[in-house]
Amino acid sequence: MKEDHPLDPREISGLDRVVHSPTRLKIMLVLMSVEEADFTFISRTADLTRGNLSANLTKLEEAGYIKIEKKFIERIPKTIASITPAGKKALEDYSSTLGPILDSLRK
Amino acid sequence: MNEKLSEQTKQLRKQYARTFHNDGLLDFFVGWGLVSAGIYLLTSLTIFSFAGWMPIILIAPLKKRFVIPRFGYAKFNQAAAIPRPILIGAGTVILIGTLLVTFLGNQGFRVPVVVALLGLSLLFALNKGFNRVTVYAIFIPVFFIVGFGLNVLTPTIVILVGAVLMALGLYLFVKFLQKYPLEPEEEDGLS
Repeated sequence: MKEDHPLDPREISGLDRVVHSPTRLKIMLVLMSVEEADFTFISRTADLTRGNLSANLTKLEEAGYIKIEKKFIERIPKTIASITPAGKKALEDYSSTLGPILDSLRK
Repeated sequence: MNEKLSEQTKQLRKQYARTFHNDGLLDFFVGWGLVSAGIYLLTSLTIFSFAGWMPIILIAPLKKRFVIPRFGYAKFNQAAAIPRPILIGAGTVILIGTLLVTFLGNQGFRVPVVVALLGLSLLFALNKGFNRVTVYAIFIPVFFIVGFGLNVLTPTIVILVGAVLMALGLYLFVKFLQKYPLEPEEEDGLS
């Protein structure tokens, strides 16, 4: 444990619960890695069923962390998701909060 | 962005890009290009100087038909893309050059033109600069330049290397189709 920054359990309360769900975290990480992706891509890369993905995409959209649009890609209608600036910030904040806590536990 | 997160997302992006392009299509068509170049060098039949790079234009429709419905669509980092005007300009110059050289019968320029055509075809084949293409874009010209420079490259070797790449491409393509079967079209439940 770091002497100058001891583990403070209270910091865990500050974690964003929308991002903290493993499913939503996977979705956010996938979308953080690409500019935009369709439903199939997210489902494949995050290894999620369509139902689970759909429910969690809705929650992320409601939180303003992702944007969902219906677009025509090569004349085929697709549901396209992309991360918003608020979503990026939420993921960064989550990483900044959780990172030091995990680091402290490892030491 | 914090450093660890940035590194993680960079790694994920690379991994997705590699999977997306691990369908064997590029390998197959690079192999086809080499086989055609080898046959052209062997027979001097003009048709094979074009047969090698023409099918490259099939990559995009094939990706659309087989890869995107299975693996999904994603837009990767735009920074790696080669600017379209540069691709079109370079392609036009080389195409006109090839036509002139081919029909004016200047034998001495044919080999470099075939090499250049293959290199440019690779650039055209890929609108985003991923590893696999970079490797081919470097490998093919070096293969020809060094091979001919050292006088060790025969048309048969070129055909054989091409055939191996085509076989590799087919293998990767079948593996990709097996790994990512077509999912039934369902409603995504999102409005």
